[in-house]
Amino acid sequence: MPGLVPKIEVSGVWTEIGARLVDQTGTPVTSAEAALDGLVLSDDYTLAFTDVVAGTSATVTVTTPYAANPYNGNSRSVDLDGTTEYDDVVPGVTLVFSSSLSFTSSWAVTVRVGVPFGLMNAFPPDSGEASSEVRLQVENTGAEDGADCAVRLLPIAKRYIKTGVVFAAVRPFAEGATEKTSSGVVSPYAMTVLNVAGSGSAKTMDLEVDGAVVDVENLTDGDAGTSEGLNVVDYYRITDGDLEGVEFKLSEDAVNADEENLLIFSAIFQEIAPDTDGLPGDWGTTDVALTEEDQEEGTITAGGVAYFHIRLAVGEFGNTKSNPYPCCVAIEGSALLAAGWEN
Amino acid sequence: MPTIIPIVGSDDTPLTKLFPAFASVNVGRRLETEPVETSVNVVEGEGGVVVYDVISEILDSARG
Repeated sequence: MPGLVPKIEVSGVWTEIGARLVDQTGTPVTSAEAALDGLVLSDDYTLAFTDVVAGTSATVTVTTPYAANPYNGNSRSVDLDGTTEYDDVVPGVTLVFSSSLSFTSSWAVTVRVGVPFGLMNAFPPDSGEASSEVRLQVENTGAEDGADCAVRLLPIAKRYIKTGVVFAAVRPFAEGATEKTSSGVVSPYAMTVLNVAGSGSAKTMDLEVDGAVVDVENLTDGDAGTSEGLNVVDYYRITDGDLEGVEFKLSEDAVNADEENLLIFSAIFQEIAPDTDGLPGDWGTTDVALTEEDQEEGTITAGGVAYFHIRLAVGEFGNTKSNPYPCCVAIEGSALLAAGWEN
Repeated sequence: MPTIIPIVGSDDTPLTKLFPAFASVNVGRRLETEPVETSVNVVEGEGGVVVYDVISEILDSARG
């Protein structure tokens, strides 16, 4: 995908972070691709296989290091054909399972999504220490130079499917959205579709947030209105209420009363730092410019790279009730097109 | 350095409709990006328990 792609160094090779296969016994998974649909949740997902009939089918069961992950224990039957794509074993990651006739129940793999930081302590005397730091690379894989490139800490939007499907995608950050909590627990907004009409890509529907329509802007034509009669082609941005800034596209598979939860997580644990000759500069929470060597600040040319550093810091008595707590980091940039005379 | 106007929400499609045909500005668009996905599990841990036990003992001691 053209654009700004973050990478992590694995055995001396800068590797796209997305979803990576680690600790493999055999080769049970032939492809793992993280989607930008708002479902993906950073963690280690270990896949074990039972009822294996090589080249035919198996039952796959997911285990995460800490049981709080909502997808811990996911289990389903999958075809071992090397072609069928599954996006509900590790939600947000598309997996393809091997057709190898050598496939046995001893095969296993861990799908590492993102850069999970594991456990951190929120109580003294063990709290307050920052995690180990990670140096990341951002590559401009597009054909155009990027300007105003920066790393930012923004409110994070995460989906959790309850009934059917509401969204084709929710963008991962929502500047202006508000985290909802109940007794210290990050709590969801109920996203429901109603009055579904038409079929396929011609479908329209109403979207309600906690039972009420909201104001939205169509990001294709700039039209403003309410969340009634929305299509499944364009992206929309919510422009009022606690979810202001959430950008989404509805699913053409949605039917009446389908419901998803949408959770907003404030960026409270992350710290970022610019890169200076491979080492982190001052740590903080304000925007960090991504600058390719010998370029103007914020510029990454096509094919060029820039670096930054990330670490987590959990203060004393941090929120222990919302695990796993997403700590995602946004990367932004603009491409210069042309003078506006012809646009 | 020409002015760059980031247009949110456009991905690879320039939102030219938002600009008049004769606008004397340079038009930019938001680059497609991938987020850095990370997470943490924040726990109370044994340290906290120890500290509270100590505080409890001190309070008990203070109360006689």
